[in-house]
Amino acid sequence: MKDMQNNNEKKYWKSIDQLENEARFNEMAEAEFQTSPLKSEDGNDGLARRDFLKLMGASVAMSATACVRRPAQKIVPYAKRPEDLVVGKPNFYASVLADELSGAGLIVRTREGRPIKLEPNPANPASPKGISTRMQAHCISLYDPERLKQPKRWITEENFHDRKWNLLTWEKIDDEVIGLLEKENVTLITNNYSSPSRKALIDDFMAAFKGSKSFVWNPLVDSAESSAQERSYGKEVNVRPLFEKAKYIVSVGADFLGEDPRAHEYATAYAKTRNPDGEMSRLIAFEGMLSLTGMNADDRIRVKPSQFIDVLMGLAHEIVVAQGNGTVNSTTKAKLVEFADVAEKLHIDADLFSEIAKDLWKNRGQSLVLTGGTYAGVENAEDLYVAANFLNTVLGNDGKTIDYAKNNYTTINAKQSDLEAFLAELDAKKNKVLIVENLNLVYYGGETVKKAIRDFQDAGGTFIYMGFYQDETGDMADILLPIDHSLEAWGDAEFHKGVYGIQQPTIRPLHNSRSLEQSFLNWAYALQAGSKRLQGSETYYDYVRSYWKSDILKNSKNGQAFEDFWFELLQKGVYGELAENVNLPVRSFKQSALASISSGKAEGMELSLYTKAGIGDGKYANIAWLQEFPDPVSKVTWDNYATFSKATADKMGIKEGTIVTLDVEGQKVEVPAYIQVGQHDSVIGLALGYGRTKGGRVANGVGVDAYPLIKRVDGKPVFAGRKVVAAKTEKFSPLANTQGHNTMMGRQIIVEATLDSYKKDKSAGIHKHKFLESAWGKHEYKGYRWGMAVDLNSCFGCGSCVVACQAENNIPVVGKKYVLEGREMHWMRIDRYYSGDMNNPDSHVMPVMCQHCENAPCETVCPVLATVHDDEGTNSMVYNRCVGTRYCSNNCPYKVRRFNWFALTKGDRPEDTPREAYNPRVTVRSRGVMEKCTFCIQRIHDVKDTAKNENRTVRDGEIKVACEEGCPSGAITFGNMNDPESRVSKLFESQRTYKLLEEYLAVPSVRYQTKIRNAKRENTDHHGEGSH
Amino acid sequence: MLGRSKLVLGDKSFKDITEDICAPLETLPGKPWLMMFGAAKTTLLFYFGVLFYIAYTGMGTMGVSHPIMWGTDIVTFVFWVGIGHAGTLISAILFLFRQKWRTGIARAAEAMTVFAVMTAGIFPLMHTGRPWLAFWLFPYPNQRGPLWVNFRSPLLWDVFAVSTYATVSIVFWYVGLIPDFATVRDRAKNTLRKNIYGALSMGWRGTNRNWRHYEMVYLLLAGLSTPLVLSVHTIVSFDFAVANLPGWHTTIFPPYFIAGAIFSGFAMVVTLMTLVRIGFPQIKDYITLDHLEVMNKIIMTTGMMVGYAYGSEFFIAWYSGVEFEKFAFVNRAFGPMGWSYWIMVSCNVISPQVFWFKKFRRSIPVMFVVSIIVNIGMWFERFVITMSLHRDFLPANWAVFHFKFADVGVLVGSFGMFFTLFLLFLRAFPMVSMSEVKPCLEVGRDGGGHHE
Repeated sequence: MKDMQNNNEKKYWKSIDQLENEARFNEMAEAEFQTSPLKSEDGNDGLARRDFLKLMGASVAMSATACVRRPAQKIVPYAKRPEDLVVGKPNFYASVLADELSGAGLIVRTREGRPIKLEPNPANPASPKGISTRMQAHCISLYDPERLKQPKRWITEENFHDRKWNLLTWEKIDDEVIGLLEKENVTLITNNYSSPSRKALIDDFMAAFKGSKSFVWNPLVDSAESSAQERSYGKEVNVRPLFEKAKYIVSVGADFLGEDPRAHEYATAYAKTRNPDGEMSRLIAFEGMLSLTGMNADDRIRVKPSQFIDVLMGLAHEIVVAQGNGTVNSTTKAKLVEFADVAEKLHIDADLFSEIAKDLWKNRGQSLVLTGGTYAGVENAEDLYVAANFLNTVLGNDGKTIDYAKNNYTTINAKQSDLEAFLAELDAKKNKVLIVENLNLVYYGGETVKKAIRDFQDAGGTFIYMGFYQDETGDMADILLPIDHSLEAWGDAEFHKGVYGIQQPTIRPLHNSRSLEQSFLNWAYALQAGSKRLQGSETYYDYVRSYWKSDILKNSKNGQAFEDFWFELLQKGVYGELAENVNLPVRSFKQSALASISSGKAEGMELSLYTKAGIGDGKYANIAWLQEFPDPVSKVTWDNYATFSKATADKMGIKEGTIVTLDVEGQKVEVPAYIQVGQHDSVIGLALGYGRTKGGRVANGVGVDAYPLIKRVDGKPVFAGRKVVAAKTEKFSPLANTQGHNTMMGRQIIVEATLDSYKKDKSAGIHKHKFLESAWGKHEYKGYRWGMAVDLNSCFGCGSCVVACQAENNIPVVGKKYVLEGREMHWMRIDRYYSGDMNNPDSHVMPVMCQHCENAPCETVCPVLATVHDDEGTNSMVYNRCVGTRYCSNNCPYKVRRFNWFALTKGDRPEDTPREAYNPRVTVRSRGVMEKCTFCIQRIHDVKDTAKNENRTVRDGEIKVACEEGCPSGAITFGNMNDPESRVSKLFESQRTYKLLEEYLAVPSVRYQTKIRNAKRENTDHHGEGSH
Repeated sequence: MLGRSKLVLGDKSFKDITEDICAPLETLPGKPWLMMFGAAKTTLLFYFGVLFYIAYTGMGTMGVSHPIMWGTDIVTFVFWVGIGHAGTLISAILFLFRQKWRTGIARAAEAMTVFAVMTAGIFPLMHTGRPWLAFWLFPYPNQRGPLWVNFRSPLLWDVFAVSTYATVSIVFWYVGLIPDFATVRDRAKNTLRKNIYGALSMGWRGTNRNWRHYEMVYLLLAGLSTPLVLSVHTIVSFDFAVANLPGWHTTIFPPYFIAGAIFSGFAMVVTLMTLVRIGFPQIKDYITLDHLEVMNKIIMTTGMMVGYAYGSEFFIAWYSGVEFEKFAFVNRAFGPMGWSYWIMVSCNVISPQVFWFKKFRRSIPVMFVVSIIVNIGMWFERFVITMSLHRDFLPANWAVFHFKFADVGVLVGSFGMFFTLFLLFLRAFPMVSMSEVKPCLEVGRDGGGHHE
């Protein structure tokens, strides 16, 4: 029935509709279920015949069989059990996620063949810890009900307005495409990838069709870095900053802890340098908006993006000219003198500025000057990089804290200029086949791209879209081909030069999808075109193996047989090592590169487009977890917004939620405002990735699309520094903010001390209240007593733990409407407070989950004993017993309990987690019951069971709770408090440890370690002196 | 107190009293009653609709949310339980003190108590997340092994306190009604009526033995109810006072709650009695301006007690030196929900001050308005207390309460339930205790001034 397109054969038809290929018939064919007697035929809300009979039958049955137990119906699982599968036990597979610009080694947790959670692969040297929010959410995109499920063909009829999609089989598609490829050449554009096999395959395929062109583009890829490397040193390369070796870091607009695609990798490395007992690093951030990096900086200085260049050149002037360090030629010196009065011009404290320069020089070879990303994505972004390169060379950091050779990033294939090249290629209309793969080109590129594709189609070209959704781009395609999810397909990745990961499929494709790689192999085979490797591989699996055999293993020295190697690789997931001690010579810097650098403009408001840790570039906008993930900085969910500094907002009379019109050189958007303290007064920020129109039921209509505000100059995107005029409107749209208040009100909540005072007093900042002894008796813990240490000094507030917890514990998403009412369900939250000067405050973050109190206030007030203390110190919630009086939450000083205000797990809302993605080890809670952090009790029990079977006790660190596992910086430690040797016990003994709201004598099992800032000033929101 | 004025006006004979009081039971209702009943019943049906909507959809239909997990339901529960204090206070405590002026108003006040407690009882049930399982709050024998209720939880004490109070109040009220039911039975002309009231009067024959037992039981029940008047609101206040939330965790709560309960209960009695006097003019002779004046004095007194408690809370918060306590009270008055605090203060402390003037104490329109204002104020008092939740220890949790449709629905609807019951009571039960009023007459006495 799907073959009706083809005219050669005899046509069989079931109905006139089918014969005439009516739209209604296609719709029916596409629908998963046909109209059934279960629904009323006419669509009106009456009872259908079968419904009526069913109800009647049910009432008879109920009246006849009242008080009779349902008969036990036994099922037998797996009469023939698949090997390696025990019902109820998870299986783990090593894999990788190398999507867009980021990549990580993964352990995929599967249950009964279903991947349910992604966990970090500790064997991966590039990202041994933590997993970012987006990667975590990537897992449930597998089950997204709105995925593209079938190949489709757009039928162009005489009446063009009659849009019709026709479902086809892959055979038919292949026939058509092969027919095209016999005559025509291909233009291919894909999203960034770091897979060497894929690169080889695409190259092989393109080589088979002379005249074909392939492009790789991603809207956020930072091409300025590599071109600046060429300008500075003569060779294009993507360098790797070595945070673990840096003692002094100056970031000029680089949000390496937040927005950077490799943020979780950097956070792991950076956290290592934050040990206050060792040699603690110091981080200075110059930025326009408030980013996670700025929040965690020891000193933060507000500069607007167009003047970042002045900061870098000004620092160079301070070091080289004013302080006379380093050697440069006279031209350069003259250039630097132009930036002599930067501190004054930018209103930066001159003493601080020269101190930074001095410290940088003092730490030469161990410091790091960073820039880049969208915050620094100004028109002269390349100049920024050149200036930073210059500084790093002068300071001798090049080759020491910057790895340009051993394990640099060679594998970013995307180039910004590829978009322009692609459009030119399309415009030339030489190639009649356009393939866009895994790249929502129309959404990112806007009207220009749309028009180019339209022109291409009008000129008779065929547009094939291989995508995950029928999105903005897919909607324009002639042929729409579903691609596999990364958990469904083979693949590989190169994280760094020489560090590889292998992507194993953990489930068969759920839908009728096929990857680009497999399609290319099939087409090449059918056409007998291309290299031997291309034609000789039946599946992409074969191709990957042959590539590894010929290209990767060839370079390795061990004489292992390939099959052994392959087996080991699949087990371990990664291959290759990161160089421990990089000590390369400083490259010589071409000082002429500095010649074209000029000072930034000073006047007017500037736009700063950025991406949020959750939504990113907007690809995953249909995943409700990410939409409801509170932004680490603003704590706002489900929206993007124009951020204004407090002073600017006050001057304009703007409140949070006031709709403003942003006019960027004639392009206008209307967007609600958010007041972001700490932002530069002349900067207005707006996040990319929102405003989807065909992203799916969750994504559509959330926020506004900021991509049209990116200006492209000579193949370079301008994210920051464009002139913007904001006008207030009378309209209002509330923002779903999860945080109620932004200051600590002088209370002892997040304890912070400077490094100097910490060195004098290890418990600096912790203020002990006098309190009476408890009237209650103490619990006895004979075996284990679980506790958790949260090191605020390593916590950067990224929120990876929040989504990891959500994935592990089946936490529902409520939607914007209910977040506005305060009904979000996250068991963990990251509280974020500001202190000090509201123009440039200190930011403080603290993960708060159930504190598992020894004297839990919730336990005493529950009338039905639904929340009780267990004999291992955790506070357990008995969902079945809970009637929902909510008294426990009222009595909880930390307010960590969440109530199921509605039935959120029925699966009838677009935001609902797909049922397949639920963790079977965790109860799905019904309406009307309370829930909260359980310390991942299911994981505790799994490990305890294993230990018991092996007749031993649980080893320290054997239980990893979900938040601990998701944390890239190792801020969370879980373990047995009864074991004096455990990491938790040791941390609890540290003088940095304190209990939240200690004087309330709840005696939490979660304890915090103070945050230490390597800065001179004390925390101004101070709690008080002495004891009181 | 009432030494110089008569308790029953209009030189009534025993027969007059019987006629006056039985009249509403023996005549068809007029248009005003029918209209009021229609309105009340419609509101009641609306109430059922709202309750069904809440139970079917979820508690999220109401304004309660994180961190304010208790809202309109609990506020209105305490409000109605508080109102339910006046009746038992009047009938039991004043009975024990031999205050004969109570006889005119005791029956209606007790009816009000019973209906108010019934109305209140729905709220704790409906505010739970799973009302169909709320019976788990009762310690009934079950098959769940050692699973039992938590006797440390004030909510459990609450269940006992309110259910005991409801039971005793109903029994007390009913026992008082028995002789009057017998009177209605004796006057009945049709069989159905005779049978119904005959059954209700439990075979009362008016014998000496009957009276002796009756008076003994009544005295005992009065003794039994008296501590309950104090205990029930004490325990309701424990729901708050036992929690460790700043603004809740205070020792002043029990007396403060009881004063407030008497305050609001008397205000409700005044509201109802002024209406009854309009609806049934013959009742003016039994519920006289003197009665109302006395109650207005009590309203003023308890109003000032409540005012004292408001002040005292602030003092203790400051005196305690606990930063959270201090903040909670300053926030109560000057925080984002401070408006409700000032509604409370102006309604409860300032408005009853008009009763310093005798002219206002005896003015029906003034007392009607003030009594309603007082009850608005008392609703807000409970609201203000409950809203201590909105800003507690960790500022990240702070939020503001927003009323939603269902909040307004249950509040308005509960009045529908209360008034439906009360209007039915007026037509079905003798609204003044004939058997108690008659002994207060001067018939057969020397006349003049001897009322004790």
